[in-house]
Amino acid sequence: MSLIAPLRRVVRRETHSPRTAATCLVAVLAILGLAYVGTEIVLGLLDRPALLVSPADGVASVLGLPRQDPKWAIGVGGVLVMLVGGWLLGLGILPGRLPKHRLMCDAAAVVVDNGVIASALAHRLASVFGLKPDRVVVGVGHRSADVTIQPGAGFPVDREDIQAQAESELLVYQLVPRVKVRVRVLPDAEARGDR
Amino acid sequence: MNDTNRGLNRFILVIFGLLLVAVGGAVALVSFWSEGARTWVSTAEAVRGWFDGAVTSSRIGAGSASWIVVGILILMMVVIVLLGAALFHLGGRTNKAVARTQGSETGLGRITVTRGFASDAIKQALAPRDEIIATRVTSNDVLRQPVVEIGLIPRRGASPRQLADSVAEIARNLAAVTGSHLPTYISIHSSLRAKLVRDERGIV
Repeated sequence: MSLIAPLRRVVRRETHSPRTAATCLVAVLAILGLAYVGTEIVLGLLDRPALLVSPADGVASVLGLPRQDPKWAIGVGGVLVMLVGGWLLGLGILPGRLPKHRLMCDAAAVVVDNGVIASALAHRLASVFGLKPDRVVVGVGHRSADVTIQPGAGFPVDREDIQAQAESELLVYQLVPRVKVRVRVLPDAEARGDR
Repeated sequence: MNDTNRGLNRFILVIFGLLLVAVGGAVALVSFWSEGARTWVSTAEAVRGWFDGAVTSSRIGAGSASWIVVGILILMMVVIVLLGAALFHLGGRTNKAVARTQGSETGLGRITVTRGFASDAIKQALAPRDEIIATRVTSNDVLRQPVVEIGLIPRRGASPRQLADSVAEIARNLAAVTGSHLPTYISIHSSLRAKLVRDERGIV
């Protein structure tokens, strides 16, 4: 079911990162850097001593970069700057999905944290199969849910049954996008002799 | 939800990302590749020669200042002001619409419902529900339309489907009573508090 424009906008904004912290950091560092360079240029124009490096010396050392030593340190510095740039590019281009899912609903737009979905699924599986809550661990990602069950001695459970139950429960939630279930049944730690 | 300009955020990140990749890549290249170093030196000398010539030809009076340096300073100030303006808007504002009213005509007259009433009614309806630890109801303008935002923190193990359906039902009933249907957004989120609260209430 498609949502009206305002609700579509709300859901989009609630399920994706605004990148505010990274942008704030970049903007503050850029302002500080530009303010420093501007101050050095003004001091140079007024023939006053530089705070750290005069603009002329700064430009000369940048232009003569290949003649400076140690070369490996300059190269490594360049690679590090490139990596930071790549990270910023990634933040700017990648969607930045938050760990949330939309839940189909006729009367409203609904967004649920993956943690809530995982907790509800774990609770449901534990109650259906008569397990202690701490024996069921569920992790929900964007397109998959990992269910790990350690039934304990004397509680035989069938992996297929758990898979079917988890899938039918998630079907009821009507998540967007749909989530695939992966089930792991661990042998009992005490039966193996682990303590 | 606030009005942070996310497009601007990403634009700033992409621009500075590209800048750092270009500068870092060039520095790494001249350090590890001798041909790159020679190109850097020859280009740097050409740029230096052009810049010195431009400074000399645009000198202001007999002093050391030149119009080109003043131009660079002005450009830097413009970039600082633009970044400052972007920073000022980063936090964004939430367009609260709580004080407004919504009216509807019936055969008996006009009903006016304040958003505060809608918010209180939803909170009151959700208050007795055991599976909900906390509720927050706000009303904001999104794309110039009022949207009721209902935030819930459920108890551990509560079914999000049941929560969503029951809250949507409350919103629908409220719309039926007041005659004004507002778009509703329901956010169900986990919190540390939800993790600390026990799954079941104990029987004493």
